[in-house]
Amino acid sequence: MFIRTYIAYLKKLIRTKSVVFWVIVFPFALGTLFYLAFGSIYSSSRSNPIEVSVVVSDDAIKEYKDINPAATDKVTAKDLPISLMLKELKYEDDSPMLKLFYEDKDKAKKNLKSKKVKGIITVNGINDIILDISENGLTQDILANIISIYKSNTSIIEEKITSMIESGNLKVSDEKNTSMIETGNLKVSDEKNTSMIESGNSEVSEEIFTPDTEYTEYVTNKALMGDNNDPYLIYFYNLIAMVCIMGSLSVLDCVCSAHSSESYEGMRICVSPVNNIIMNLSIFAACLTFQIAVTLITLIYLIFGLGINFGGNLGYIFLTAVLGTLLGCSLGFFIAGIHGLKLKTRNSILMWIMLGGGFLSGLMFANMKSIIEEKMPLINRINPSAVLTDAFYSINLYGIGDRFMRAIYYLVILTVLLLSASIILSRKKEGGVYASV
Amino acid sequence: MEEIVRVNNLVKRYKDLIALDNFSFSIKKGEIFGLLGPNGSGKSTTINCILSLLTYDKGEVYLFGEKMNVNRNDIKKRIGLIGQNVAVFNELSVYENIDFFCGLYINDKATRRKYVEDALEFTGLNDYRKKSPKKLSGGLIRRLNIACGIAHKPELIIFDEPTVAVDPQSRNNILEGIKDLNKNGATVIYTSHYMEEVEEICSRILIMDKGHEICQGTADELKGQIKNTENVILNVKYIDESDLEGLKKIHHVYSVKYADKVLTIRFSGGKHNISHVLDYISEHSINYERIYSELPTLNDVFLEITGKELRD
Ligand SMILES: Nc1ncnc2c1ncn2[C@@H]1O[C@H](COP(=O)(O)OP(=O)(O)OP(=O)(O)O)[C@@H](O)[C@H]1O
Ligand SMILES: [Mg+2]
Repeated sequence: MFIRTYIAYLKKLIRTKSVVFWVIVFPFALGTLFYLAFGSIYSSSRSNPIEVSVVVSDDAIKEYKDINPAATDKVTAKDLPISLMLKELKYEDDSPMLKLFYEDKDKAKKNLKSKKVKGIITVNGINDIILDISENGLTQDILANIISIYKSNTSIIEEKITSMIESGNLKVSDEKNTSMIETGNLKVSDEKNTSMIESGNSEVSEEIFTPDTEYTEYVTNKALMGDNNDPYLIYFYNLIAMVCIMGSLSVLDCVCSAHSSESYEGMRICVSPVNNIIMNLSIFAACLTFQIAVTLITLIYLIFGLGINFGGNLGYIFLTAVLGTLLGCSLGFFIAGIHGLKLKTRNSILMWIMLGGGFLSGLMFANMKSIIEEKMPLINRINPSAVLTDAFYSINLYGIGDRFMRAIYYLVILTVLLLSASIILSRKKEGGVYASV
Repeated sequence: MEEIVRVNNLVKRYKDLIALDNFSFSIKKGEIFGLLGPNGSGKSTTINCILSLLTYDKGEVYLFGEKMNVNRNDIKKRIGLIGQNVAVFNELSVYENIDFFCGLYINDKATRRKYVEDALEFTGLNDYRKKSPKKLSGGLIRRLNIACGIAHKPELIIFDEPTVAVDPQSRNNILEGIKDLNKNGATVIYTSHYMEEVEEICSRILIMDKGHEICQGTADELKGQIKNTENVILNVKYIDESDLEGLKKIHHVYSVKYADKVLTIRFSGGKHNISHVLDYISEHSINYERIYSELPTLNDVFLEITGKELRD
């Protein structure tokens, strides 16, 4: 029974021209439209550097001079390791990622306020760096990433120093200094040491403090989450999320068509001795199969047809899309299972969830989701589009890490909840007779 | 004889409207039971209540001697429904449709294949098995609708106006088919507002109106209940009021009606009634085009009991 119904409904779906037309043509059209609309914007924004103010305190310069024997009096803010690294960060096309404005605190604040810059990087010491931003967004996330990666990686520099000391290249006799190095507060104030380093190993110090390409690439990649920082990508995530959620419509349609109150075929099914749960599950499975195919086709079109770089691991993107389709279909299954509603009502509930959810998760304004996250995070946990875009976003932004796992976790929880509720609701047949007038 | 259907005091309300008003009847094994009534009299409502597609406010339904409810899959197994409207999937072929609906009842693959072939054969759809229902003519699609309802060889088959909007030839096919099914052992409920059909195939008829039973019995029994025995009908272009009065005075005539250029004279009893009418007409030089005599129909039964025509 299960397999027969499954096959019959799969055939029904594939052979319904209007369904095929809508589920395929619609995402394709919208995807292409997004592509055309944002194509020019983001191709320029990609190589456009992010404007940042850099405020370097005198203390930081002094500290640097103290530890770096090669440093002369001519050292300026631009010579600090952090500055060198910031300067070295490049997009794929080798254009600089950041545009740096070295200025004083007040001017920087003014610029941030007037949105001339996206953030202020305040350098108070080698490892004492603070980022100020005025709003949330992808660009700001990138800045935050750069800083946090830099901070966590100064320990690598320290390790380098330590290992050099151990290997004898760098002699630091003072116990105090060694411990200082270890704790991260690298301060070499001893004249003797400085001169020792100076006399023997200026090349070594170069090596320590000048960022190598490998390192900047590492920071770039980390900061740019995978390798695409395209802020308009959120629209494509939303598009894929919408295609996934749209699966709910075909499930709703098919499951309801087996209700006696919604179609004559449904009346026929209802007078037959079928188990309603098996019937509904097999219709659900047929729709799910169909919708997964649709989602994958859309994704393949976006990635390989339009050449949109989703960043991150493609395998996980596809996995997320499949799970998302399961979520969408479960949503439709659940709405179809609620007793005593007219199909029209069910459809409009879904429309509201889809469009409203899309709106709240940033289909129209990319910033919407972070606003909701601040004000009412619960909505982002139960809004299917938000849960789904979040998962995509995490892959790209943070790779397969905690945040992605958390997003997938919410995705799976929501799906399981909806599916179980649908199955429980399916135990009772929907009554009534269909009257087409 | 075993009682297949028993309906006790069924009451069904749609808000203010009482669609079934303490409606009761029973059907024995092997009958073709006709449920005859004008549009909106409650035939489909009755069927839907019997099948538990609708909930009802009062009363009981027993099928095969057991109380029917939504969850009685064991009872549902033994029933086939051919609804008032075509219920097939347009996206599936003729064969796939029959196979799908038969599959809701018959799990065994070999049996099902045989049953589907039988149904194709029975409804004469063998040549169309691969066709999409969309490409079938009105008559053929009705046959497909029947095939889907009977493929699993049910013991009780319910037809709800299967001949609506069907050409006369297909209609005859369908009626013959129903008789065959009955001969093969199925008990049949047949609802219609076409009295000729009901009269032709049904072994017992229940006439209903506004959710009530008007009368029931065989066609002859029903006709025997009324005083009307013969109707003489004339096509007349014009007739005087005085002549209508005059015709009424003929022996055994109890009603004379002139409408739409048709003059209907109803008799209760009497012989050679038509010649008495002819005598009067030639005497008063009334011009007529055609004259004929008819035995009372179920329409007359309905008319006499309810005071209105069965067909509107
Ligand atoms: N869902 C409904 N809501 C309200 N009234 C209804 C509903 N279904 C039927 N009715 C009313 O109940 C009465 C009986 O309807 P039913 O469909 O049983 O008649 P029927 O004898 O089958 O007529 P037909 O020959 O037109 O099929 C009608 O007056 C109809 O208007
Ligand atoms: Mg009806």
